[in-house]
Amino acid sequence: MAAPDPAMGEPAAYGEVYDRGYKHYEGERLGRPQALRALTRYSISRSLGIRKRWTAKIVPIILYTVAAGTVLVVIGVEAFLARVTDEVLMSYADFFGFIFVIEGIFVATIAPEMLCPDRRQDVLTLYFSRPITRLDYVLAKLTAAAILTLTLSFVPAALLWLFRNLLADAPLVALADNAGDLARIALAGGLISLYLGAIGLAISSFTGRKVIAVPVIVVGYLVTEGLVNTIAYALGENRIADWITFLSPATISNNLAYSLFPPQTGIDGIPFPWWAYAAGMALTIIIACAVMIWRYVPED
Amino acid sequence: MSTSDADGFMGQPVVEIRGLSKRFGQVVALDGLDLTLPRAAVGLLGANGAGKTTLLRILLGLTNATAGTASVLGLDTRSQGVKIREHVGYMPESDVLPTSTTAADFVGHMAEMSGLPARAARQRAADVLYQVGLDEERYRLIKGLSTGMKQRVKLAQAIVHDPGLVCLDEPTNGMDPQGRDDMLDLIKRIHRMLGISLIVSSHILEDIERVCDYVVILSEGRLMLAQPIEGVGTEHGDLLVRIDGDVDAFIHRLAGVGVYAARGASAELTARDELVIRYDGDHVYDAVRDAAADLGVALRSLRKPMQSLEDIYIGEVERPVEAGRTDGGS
Amino acid sequence: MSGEPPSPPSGAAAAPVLLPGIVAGTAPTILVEGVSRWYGDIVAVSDVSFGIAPGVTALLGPNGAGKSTVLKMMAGLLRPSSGAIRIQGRPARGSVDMYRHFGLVHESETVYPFLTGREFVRFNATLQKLKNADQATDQALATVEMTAAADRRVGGYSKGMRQRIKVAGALVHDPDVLLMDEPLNGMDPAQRAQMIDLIRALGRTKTILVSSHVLAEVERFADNIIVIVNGKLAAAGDYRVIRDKIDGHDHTVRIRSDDPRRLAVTLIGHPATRSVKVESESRILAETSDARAFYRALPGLARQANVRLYEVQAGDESLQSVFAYLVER
Repeated sequence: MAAPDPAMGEPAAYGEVYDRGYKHYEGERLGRPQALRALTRYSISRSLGIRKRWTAKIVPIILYTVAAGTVLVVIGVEAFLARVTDEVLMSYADFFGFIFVIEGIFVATIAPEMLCPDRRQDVLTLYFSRPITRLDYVLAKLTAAAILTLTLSFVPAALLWLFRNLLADAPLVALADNAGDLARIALAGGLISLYLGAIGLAISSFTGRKVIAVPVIVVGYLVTEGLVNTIAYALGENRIADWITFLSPATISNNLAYSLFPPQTGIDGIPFPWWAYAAGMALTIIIACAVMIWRYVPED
Repeated sequence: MSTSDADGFMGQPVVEIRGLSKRFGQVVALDGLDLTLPRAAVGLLGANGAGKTTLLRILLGLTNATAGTASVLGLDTRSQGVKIREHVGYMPESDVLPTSTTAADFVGHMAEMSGLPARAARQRAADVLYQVGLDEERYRLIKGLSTGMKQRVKLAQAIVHDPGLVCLDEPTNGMDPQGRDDMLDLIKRIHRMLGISLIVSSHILEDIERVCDYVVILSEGRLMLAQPIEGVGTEHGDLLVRIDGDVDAFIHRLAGVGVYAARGASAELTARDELVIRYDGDHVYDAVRDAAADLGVALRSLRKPMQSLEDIYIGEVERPVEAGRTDGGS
Repeated sequence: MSGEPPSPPSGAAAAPVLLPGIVAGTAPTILVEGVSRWYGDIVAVSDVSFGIAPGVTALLGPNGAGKSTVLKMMAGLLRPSSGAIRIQGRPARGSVDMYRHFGLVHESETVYPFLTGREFVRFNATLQKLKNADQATDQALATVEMTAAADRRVGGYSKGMRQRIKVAGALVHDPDVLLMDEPLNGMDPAQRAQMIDLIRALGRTKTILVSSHVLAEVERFADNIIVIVNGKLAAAGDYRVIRDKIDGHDHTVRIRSDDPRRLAVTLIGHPATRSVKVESESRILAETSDARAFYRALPGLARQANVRLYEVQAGDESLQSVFAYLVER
């Protein structure tokens, strides 16, 4: 078909073929910070089962529901009984004892999920070909685990604090007066979640198989508990027994919680002040991080 | 926040290496390498343990040299490893893909891991997966993909961030003949059409000959050869001819005009039933043509073989002293 | 290209073919008769019959299209759902005894890493109940050129060395038949060249069946090919003869000369020429529907046009091209 002649006054025909092919990328490159953000976000969403089969989502959903549900139930009962008594149904210390178990189960699911598949399927090779360092990888995973575990321990407890104070006769005054409680909640919640998370990750860093990591975390924890408590019991009431309890995750967490929120009525005195337990847990966290670094950072 | 850096590298060699050495305890993996790689498709050859993998790892900034310097796209590997990895892609030989994600998800994630913003990352991933030949398969879980498709996904994650250099290690591993063909075409296109420099490490010389325009041979941690492929090998003196018809009469006819011909003896150089014709000037071509025309025999092939990349390779690699070879005597 | 008796090849001495892969006058070492294999609804191999003669035969096929299944059945590792396979007259899945008569170099075969190379080969010799085990071991090691490294642990070998040790293990009892699955895998170019030479040498006295995906190398060592596509036999025999018989694809010929366009004009005048394409300043690509006639006419036409021919090469006679044509739907 001949091209129309403009001199004749006809409109010129128009047609164009566009290149659908590979183009060079001319956009922004955000470098290492973006890589770290991406890895953290991805680790969080994979652990929660987002974009995976529903079976991967079940455990997190149940655990979050239980934690939130407990808070609601406790608040509900307290609200109902508020006319009759000032007593709380579940003290913060009790609550952390309860959360400890929930958190333990949570860590046993998410920590292996975060580390094991990357190792087993050797995706680590591809990750390390990206603009991050090996240490970056470890830190991103720790951050992701921390974010997840904190939402399970600190957030419900903070909500409990909030609702409880809102139920008081003078809510705003109560909130101000009990601000210290919130700080202690942050400390206890933070330490417990980081403590369990770091141990879970450290254990998971040794194997590529979730099927091994999960039981090791669970059984390891139970066995440690059993052993420590048996030894402590056998040693009787003495200082050494008290020191031994630093090795028991449940005892050290409970002791931290109870020493931060001393009960009104008679449970035996906690042997050490709260900062001793906090230091013990912090030390464990540091050791666990060091283990992870040792597992990932030296080049093969 | 930089925009595309590709333009800044035009004209510079893509890799510069000076006196590079790497020891693992007693073992010397690389020994004083001096090498400059142009913006080309470079074939990296050498025996197992010759230092190829070590070299690639140093270039990617994944391990540090014991001595010497290396720079990639103008960036020093020791101090700027992270930045280098923003602009380099790696397609490893082994299985490195996760099984329970989709190709689209994973390649998108890898693009973000290379620094691309989230939306651009998803877009590039979809585009690149299409370019490497995955249509609706890119929405399938990786574990449900065939070997050939998995190799393509591996390639996709290596180029999704539009790198200036891509390192490929045995890219056709495990693929069937058609898959290999497609993959080699893809790789060639990536270089020819997009100007992305390549380093291809492979044991299959035919693949290297097909895809690369520059070749580097390492042996026992040392550089044996580094030059354009076209320059490799000189033409052998003789012509090789295959005919359908009376071979003896043909040989006789040629002898009649002073051209010496004989049945092929060496099995490596000649295919079956190729005749070797001594070349001492272009007139030999005409003699062959005319003899065939006169006798009415079919001229099925006529060629003057080049020394193959294989001959060069074997020649180079046989040179070092035999003692101390770890490879069972080659 | 299905399994009914093919017509004799035209041109060269027409040998009647009794069974795909076997020419009259030679006895097949391996006989595959009406073999099928299915897994529930999935038919992996469908009524395949062929024979393998002494020499080197390559078994080819796309991934997942039945080739590995056929190889496993031939090695006696899998039972055919129907049909039979015989090696030297004996059923492939007979008693354990049958492994005396053939050797297997299989990809997934584990070689115990804590043994030395020599120990591994010796172990195989013992399994084969050889009387002169030590001598046979030495011989096998020498054949694969692993004598120097024989006393080191297999765990420390490179992939290429492990492959060679596996071959030594399969050769120690000097079997008449050898089945090899991707024997060159992991080998560097020098080792590949050596292994190719070894396979050719062994092929002079034994029956070797090699399965491989690297067609450029298969071209160098295989006398014949067997191609399995979609569970069926797609082709058997010399790949160049097979090429001649593939319908629907004109032969292409690449010609380098000192005056390509003049040559092109002359060629187009000939009825055997379908098309001529100018590829570069010195090269043309011609398509012909009658390869034989074209090649015969070429010298005369070139002379007539006073054009010097520098290079004549079939464009799609490589094994790669033949394979691509066979795999098309």
